[in-house]
Amino acid sequence: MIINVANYIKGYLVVEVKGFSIERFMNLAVNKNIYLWDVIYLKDKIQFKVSIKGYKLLKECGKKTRCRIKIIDKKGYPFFMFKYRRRKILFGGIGFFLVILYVMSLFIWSINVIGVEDVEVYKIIEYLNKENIKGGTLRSKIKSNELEEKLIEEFDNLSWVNVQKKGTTLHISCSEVLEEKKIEENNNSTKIIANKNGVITEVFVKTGTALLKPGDVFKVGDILISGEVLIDEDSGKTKRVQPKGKVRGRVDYDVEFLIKNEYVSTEPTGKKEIVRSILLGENKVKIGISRNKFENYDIISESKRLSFGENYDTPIVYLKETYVEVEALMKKRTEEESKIYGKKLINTTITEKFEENQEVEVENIDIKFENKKEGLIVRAKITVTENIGIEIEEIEVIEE
Amino acid sequence: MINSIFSRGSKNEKQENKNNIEKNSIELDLPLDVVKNLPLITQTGNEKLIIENYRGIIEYTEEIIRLNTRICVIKIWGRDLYLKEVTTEILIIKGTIFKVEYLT
Repeated sequence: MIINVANYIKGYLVVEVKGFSIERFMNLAVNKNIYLWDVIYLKDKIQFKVSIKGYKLLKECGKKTRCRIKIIDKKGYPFFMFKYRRRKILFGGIGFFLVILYVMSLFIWSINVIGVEDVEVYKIIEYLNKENIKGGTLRSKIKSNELEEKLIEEFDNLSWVNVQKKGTTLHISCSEVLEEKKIEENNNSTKIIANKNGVITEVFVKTGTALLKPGDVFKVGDILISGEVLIDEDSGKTKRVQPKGKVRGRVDYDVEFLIKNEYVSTEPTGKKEIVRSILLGENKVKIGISRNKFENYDIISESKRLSFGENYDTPIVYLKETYVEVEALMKKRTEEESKIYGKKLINTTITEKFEENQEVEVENIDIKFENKKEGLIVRAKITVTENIGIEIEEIEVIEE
Repeated sequence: MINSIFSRGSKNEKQENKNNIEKNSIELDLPLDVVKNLPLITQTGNEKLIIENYRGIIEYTEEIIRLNTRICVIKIWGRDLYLKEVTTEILIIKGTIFKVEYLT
């Protein structure tokens, strides 16, 4: 393999020799230190390969042994160059390609952030853009160590950042600080009151006096924990403290939906149009003649970035968009279907409402259905236990 | 012993020396292809034959190749034989080899 490549670079000839004593010719050639290879016997002649230097010496051997030497083929890099010596644009093109490839590899084309949540990723990328680091920045301009320090300074919740330039991709791997629980120090609050209606299930007081017990019914505005603490029972002396504590209660939520019997659904008609295009940075160049002709349509898009190996990305993105024509159809639901749909809706509202607050526990869901002319009415009573207290400030009126 | 290898003398002495060299080389385990200039033949299956220390090609066709060496003529029978490499020291034959014969 290596020998073949070396021979190709040096260049060699395929030669045919015809004559009476080919063996003598070969012995003579060998004695002159000419390297022959791939000698093939073809009835009355032989064919072999010789280097360019060797061929010049072969002529003498041919004269001595009266063999006729014929060149069949010239192979190798020198001959290739000679053949195409006038085609300047071809060589220019090869050179241009190599130069472009090299120049492209000098830039960063994509940024990859690992280790933080999606929201943080956006923030980090926004910050990088502000610092002039984005697709198209010179690799040499980005200093990994400095960037690491800057990122740690800018984002408080990052404890460790590692910036790596791998090919044309900038890898930023970070790890977040575990969230500290915020200590609320609102010294002005004087009491904790309820912000909902329901039944108390649990009372936990740090400072202050609890006014309601578990099992009591409360309304909006009821004082749950007051800031007055009894010091001396006999004299009834009290002291003001900042009330702290947690009160949990059972609260009901009512949800109501009307599910209509008739509804509009969009369904594909089966017609589709594929539009292929190339994205160069932000410019879009369409390939082919297919265009979107539909009024109502869905788009399914796939994109693929052209890259060399894993590390060398280019700014060229291939984009394939499939336009699927859709139709609006009026459809009817049966009662069973609307019931299932109603339950689904209730579940989604529960997750929407209470997902963020982790201290909410859903205890019971009571669903009732009612048939009407237009459709089905779904009523649900969702019982949850949650924190019901909020701290409020009460301006004290100082008596003069 | 070493003297016997490098000493020079008349024709008879030379002959004696030669015999001595042969004996000594066997005793010393020196490679015979170096000492006596014998052909060194390496064969890989029936596909490849490497011959070192040959003196020339006598006959070359697709079926029969005859080579001259110091002590004998080597005759190789085969099918689709061709010479992969030819230099002054080495000869590589490829193809399907049936038989290798030593004609003294």
